[in-house]
Parts: sequence; structure tokens; C-alpha cells
Amino acid sequence: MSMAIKIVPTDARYAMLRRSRNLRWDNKAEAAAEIEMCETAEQAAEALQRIVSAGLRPTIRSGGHCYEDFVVNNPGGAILDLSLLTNVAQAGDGERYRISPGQQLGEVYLDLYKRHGVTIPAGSCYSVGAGGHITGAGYGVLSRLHGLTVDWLSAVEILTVDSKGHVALRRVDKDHEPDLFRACRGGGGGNFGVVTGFLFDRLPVAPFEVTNAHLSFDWTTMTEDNFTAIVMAFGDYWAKRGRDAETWGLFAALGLSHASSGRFGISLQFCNPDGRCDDLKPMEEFLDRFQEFGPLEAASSASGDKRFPSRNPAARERVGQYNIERLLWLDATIGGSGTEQSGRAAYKSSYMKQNFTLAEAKCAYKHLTRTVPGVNLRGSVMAVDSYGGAVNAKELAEVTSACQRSSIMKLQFQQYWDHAEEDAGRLQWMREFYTDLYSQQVEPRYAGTPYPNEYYEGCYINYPDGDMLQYAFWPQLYWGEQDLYPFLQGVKRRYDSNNIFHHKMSIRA
Amino acid sequence: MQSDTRSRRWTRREFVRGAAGMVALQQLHQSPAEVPLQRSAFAYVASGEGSLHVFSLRDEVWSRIQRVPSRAPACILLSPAQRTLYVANEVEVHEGLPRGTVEAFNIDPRDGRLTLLGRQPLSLSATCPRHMALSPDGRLLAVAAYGGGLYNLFPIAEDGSVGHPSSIYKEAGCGRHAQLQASAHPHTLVFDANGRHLLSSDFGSDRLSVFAVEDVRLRRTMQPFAGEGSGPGACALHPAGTTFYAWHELENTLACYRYDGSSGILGERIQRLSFPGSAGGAHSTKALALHPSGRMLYTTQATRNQLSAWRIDAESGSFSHAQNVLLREATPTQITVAPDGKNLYVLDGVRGSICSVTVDPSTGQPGRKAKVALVHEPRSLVLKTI
Repeated sequence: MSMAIKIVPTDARYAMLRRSRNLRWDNKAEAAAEIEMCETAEQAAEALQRIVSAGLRPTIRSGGHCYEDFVVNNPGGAILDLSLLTNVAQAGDGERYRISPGQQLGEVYLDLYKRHGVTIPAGSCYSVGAGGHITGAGYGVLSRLHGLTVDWLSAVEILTVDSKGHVALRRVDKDHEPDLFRACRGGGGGNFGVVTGFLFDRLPVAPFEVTNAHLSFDWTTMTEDNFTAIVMAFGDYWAKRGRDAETWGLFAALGLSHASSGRFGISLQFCNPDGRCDDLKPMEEFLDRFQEFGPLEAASSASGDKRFPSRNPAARERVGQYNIERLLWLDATIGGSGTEQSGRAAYKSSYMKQNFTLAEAKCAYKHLTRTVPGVNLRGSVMAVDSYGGAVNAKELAEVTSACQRSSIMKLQFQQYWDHAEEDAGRLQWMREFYTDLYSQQVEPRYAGTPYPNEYYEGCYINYPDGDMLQYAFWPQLYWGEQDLYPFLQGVKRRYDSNNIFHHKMSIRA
Repeated sequence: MQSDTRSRRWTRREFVRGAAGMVALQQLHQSPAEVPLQRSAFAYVASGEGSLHVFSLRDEVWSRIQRVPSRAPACILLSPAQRTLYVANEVEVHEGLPRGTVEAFNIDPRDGRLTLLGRQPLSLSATCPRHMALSPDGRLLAVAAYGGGLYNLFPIAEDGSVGHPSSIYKEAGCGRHAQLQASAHPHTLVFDANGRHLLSSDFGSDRLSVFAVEDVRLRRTMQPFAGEGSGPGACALHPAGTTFYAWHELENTLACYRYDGSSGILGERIQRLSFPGSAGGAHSTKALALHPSGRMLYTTQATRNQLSAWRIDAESGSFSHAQNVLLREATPTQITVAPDGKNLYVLDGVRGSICSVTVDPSTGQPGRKAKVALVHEPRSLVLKTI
């Protein structure tokens, strides 16, 4: 058996491979001492055993898109890099579909489509690795139609380290070590072991085609009344009409960029439940809601959202009063979404169970139009994604570790910039915005967070935010306040009693 | 366990020579301007109430002169030059992250008072540190994180402050006791005399370890098994560096092993003495300490209200019972021997008292006892004598 490729600081590749994509975490003092590049599960097992036996801490990387420093903050430790572990066919899989942790989502879409004509309802960024994405639940543009990726998951192959420090390869499913299997269905990466394969008995057929459309709004002429009305019209759709199954093929994102960017916008993708676009009325109905606010027709996403590429201008057509793009699904899914972005970044998230209140919309307006002397807030976005639909099948909360099954919108607060000198000002603005927004409709003891209640459903573990660690109740933000977190703690005690796999937001047993 | 065929027997002459070397080493780190203005003794006590207590000692009368806040101090150490006090804070979370901390306090050479010099977080997951060891030259601080199952090694700067961990060692292991030994629990650390090796006991995995200290990093060189369900706990290295003594807490035995400092080999077990009672039972607190002369070993068990003194055979390192000192209504949890060998102190972590026992400085034989201080839940004690 060949060994993993070991990258040490004297290797020319080390400077590149030790880094996080998010340059906020580019701290040499906290860097791992080695990177083990694994092409097979056997290599990963051998490397993991070496790492554990040497008293090093392993952290796991598939695509390297972790928002926090879970992987790269590993002083003196070892990164187990699975980005070369991309095999998709393996003897014994039978009819199952296999996804390997090192596959990028774009590769997964291409492979599943070309081989089988199926897909997974996962994220829209081409280069995100399957390993971290799926263990954290995995959602994307097709999730309202088909649910979360882990809702379809049938089995997981995972390397665990037993209580004596020995590495073992397990294949877990609903009948074999079902607790560990459930924990891998949304509990989050870097907690229980090293996933070397995801297996699916069945997957949804990929849509034949989709339509995309974009609206944008001019910040320079925007009033607070108009802004709040747009935001609430968006939320109202998902709170009411968006619950109807015929709309589940509609996914929309309201990209609320900071006013300094000039415009904000709405981008959407649509298909009928059968994966075709014969009846566009639900989409038109949605777009109609915003006519009174004087939208500008945008050729592509005005919010910088890469999920809705303008791939094929020839495919534009007029539907009613709207210019839309009709694209074959793979074109819409792959085209342009692989944009590599590496710089400094910060993220926060929330799940919303109801439409925005007027006070929330006003709060967003206040902060998105606020200027801070000496602080450039371009690159700041509050992205409001439609949610719910098939995701909200309540029974799936019991068999997965994705507990948020009542939300209609999912928010991702994002900031991107280049220079370390901007860190403090930008982060302070973002924290103030978030804290202000989530101090209105929560109990005072949970102020500053979307703590689960009648309005909110916490945060998404694949959008981890270290700021939440200031709250003793941070696990309840990500895994709810019911029995999921205690369940995950039990799995952690059983399968990783020595806490070999840990990062700052891992399950604390 | 490997047998140690190269180890030499310790002799009194070698010990005195080694001790003199240590004093010279300490003086190297103490500039003339830092020599204390007066010869005073001070005692520093870590209290479970979340504070450090400073006592001035005159004629065995302890006067409390300061109380300094400190989160869950579990173990305290003095730098060789006695200018800095180090504290292991047995906490699970620091600034929202799962990790303990160590603190460094400057000691005022004139009045013994403490001033916080700095607080350094342990590595991620290094929770609940309970024990530490300083290298003989005072330049490295090793910390055993009982909760998280890690060892951290810290460099010490010239001013006594603690740097970032230079080495992080993640332990893995378990024992047969489902609750108490579900994972590794590094318990006690000891540097050998030359500082090239670090010895440790792991309560959770039933193992002892020897680490080589190489370029401020730890590399495990051996990990002998101490016995199924033994639960290695408090341990100490003989001043001559040739015998390693350890409580096996879970099986309630006291053992000693041969050790060769030149090769860093922990050799065969020389002796194992079983005590009646809590074999295989719950984790109880057992302590041990050695007299500076190397002639006497002292032990306590929290379940017994007595201090036991064990005479050490100079040739073999084995121990034999010499004397019990009855400690009325006491739950002894920790022992500290004064550097001059004239006293030892027994901490009662339950009732909150410190008992002084006089000791013959040449033989280590215990004498009269007296309660010298009341401190809530005393965890650790050190004495500043220079």
C-alpha cells in the first residue's frame, strides 16, 4: 500500500497547503507541522494511526472552505487532507451512489449527472468539498425541492479512533451503529472521525432545465419604507405561498449588500416539481411582488451571488414582463459558480421561522446604510435565502442531526475584504448589526443570538461563527435545545472518548 | 517493562554533589541586584475557593499577608530562583474555548507578595490541568491536562512569563474502569535531574510515560504499562534520579521503578505494596513526597487520617515502613516537604487546614506536628526560602 503524501515545512508546497482559504486564519504560529495528502481510505487510515500514535492532533480537510479556523489552527499538529480522495466507484457498492470526501461539489454534480442523471441537493459553490459540506447537512438551491443532502444519505464510511487509540474503518447506516450514522447526518465535521465515503441508495433525478431571473434595486434612491417593504414582501412569500409544494422548485436569495455597494438584489432559480419549466406562473407570481418597488432588470445577480450565473445569453427569453434565462440544469449549476475567492472573510447565520417584522427590516436598513468613519463596508452582504419546502419534513429531524425543520428562510451574513487593517472595523460593524438584529425578539438572556423560539431556529453549523462561543448556550444555537446535542455528546463519548477530533466548536462531551 | 541494566546505585556523595550543582544553577539565574534584602520564608497556598494565599513564616508562625484571586488553582510551583510562582488553573473553558490556563505571578523579593505577570491559555482541548513540572533550569514548564488528555510544554521567558506552547502532545488511552478511565487522564509530571526527560503517570490509561525533551518539544520514548486497572497517580523521582515512586490509585498500591536518567529508561518495577481497602474502587486522593535527603518517602491517603513515612534503601531504592503519624480528624490530600528538609506540610483539602510536621533533616524522620493555617480547600503548597 502506498503511503499518503507527507508535506512538511521544508517542502515548497507547505506554504500553500498549510493555509486556510480565509486569510483571517493565516497565522503561522498556529500552523500544522505537517499535511498528509491521502488518495485512498487505506492511506487515510494509515496516516491517521501514525498521527495519533505520535501524539499529534489531526484536523481534517476536504475542500478547505471552513469559515472558521477548525482545520488550520493546529499548532504542531497534522492536517489530514482528503482533497485527493475522490474515487467514486468501489467494489461492493452495488447499486449505490458513492461520493468521496475530497470531491468538490461541482465534480459531484458532473459525475452524478453524467453517470446516472441524478444529483444531490447540495451547495452552489463548485469548489466546496463534499466531506465537510455533507457532514454539516448540506443544503443548496434544490433543497426546497429535495431536502438536505443528508436526508438522502444511506451509509457512511468513517475512520474512528477507539478508546485505546486504534484506528478502525466502519461502515455505518440505519441498521449498523445507527447512532454514529445519525451523528454524521448533520452533526458537523471534525467531530467523530474521518469520513472516507458517503453512500446513497437513491438520489433525486437532476432537473432537466431551470430558469433564472434577477432583480436589483438602487440604493441611491432607496427609502427606508421601500426597503422594509421589499424585505417583508420577500419574507411574506416564504411564510405563506412558499409553503405550497408547487413552489418548492423556486429558490430565491435576497442579497442585501451594504449601501456603499450601490445596489442590492434578488436572484432566483426555478423549475416545476418535475424538473421542467413548462409552467412559470409561480416564478412570475413571485417576481410580481416586487414590481411596485421599481426594480431594475439585472442581467445577473446584483448582490454578487455566484449561484445564478449568466451562462448563456442566447437562452434569454421574455416571460411576461420579465427577462429570464432558461438553462439546462447542469449549465445553471456548474457555470461560473466555481469562482475562487480567497481573502479575508467573516460569516454569521440564522434560521428564520417567520417573516421579518417591521422592526427587523428597519434594523437591517439602519445598519446597511450606516457608515463608519474610516471603515469600508463594501463586500458586506446579508444574504437571505429561501428555505423550507422539502427540508421541513419534521420526521427527518429524528433520523438526522439537522434539527432545523421549521424555517422558511436561512440567513448568511458575509463580509469579504483584503487587508488585515480592516479587520477590527469591519468585524465590529458586523457584530453590532447582528447583535442589534437578534436582540429584539429573544429573551433577554439570549440577546444577540437567534436562539430557538417562535421566530428563530438558531444557526447553521456549516456557517460556524466563533463569536457565538461567548455564550454558554452556543451548542443550542447550532443543534437546538431538545435532545440532539446530548445525543451527539453521547456519540462523541462512545466513538471518540479521547476527543482526538476537536476544534473550537466541536461537540464537547 | 524494560529492565535497566545500565542504572547505577545512588550514593550519598553523588547526591550531595548533584544538589550543590542545582544551587549553583539557581545562582546563575539570580543577579546580585535580585538577592533578597532579607532572609524571609513565605508559603503560597492554592485554595479551591479560587485564590492564592500568601503567608509569612516566622518561627513556624504563619501570618496571612495576601489573598490573590486565581481561577481554580490546582497546582503551584516556584521558579528555581523563587522569583516567579506558576499556577495551573483547573478550568474547562477559558474565553469560550475548551482549555485550561496557567498563570505566572511575580514575587516581590522583599515582602513575598504576588503580582499577576500573565495568564497563558493551554492548547485547545487541554482542559482541567491539575499538575505541572518545571525543568531544572526553569526554562520549560510542562503541564498535564487531566481533563482533555494532553500534555503542553511552555517556554519560560527571562522575565518568568509563560510563552505559547512549544509542544502539544495528545494522549489516547483508557482503562477498565468505565467511568474513571474512559479516556486518558495525564496525572502527574516529573522532570528528571538533567531536564532531558519528562516522566508522567496517566490515571486513565494505566500507563507511565517517558518523554524526551528535544528542542523544546516532547517525543515519547516509552510508555510502560502499570497494570490493568491500576490508575497511576501521584509520583515522584528520587533526588538521586534513580528510582521513580508512584501511587497506583485505583488498585491502591504503592510502587517504585528503576530509572536511568542518562538513557531516560524507566526500568523494572522494584517493589509493589498493596494496601487494604479501595482496590478497584472510586478515585481517591493519594499523595506522596520525598525528603530532600532521599532517605524517606512520605505518603497519605485521603481515606486514612495518617501520614506514613517509608525508609528508602539507599542501594535498591525500595521502601519499608518506618512510622505513622496520626492526623486526628484529618483528610490528608497533599504533602509538601520544605526544601531544607526540616518540615513537611500535610494539606487537608476537605476540612481546610495545613498541618506542619517537624522532620529530622538528616534522616527524614517525622517528629511533632502542629496545625499552622486554615485555608479553604487547600490544593497545593510551596515555600519560598531565599
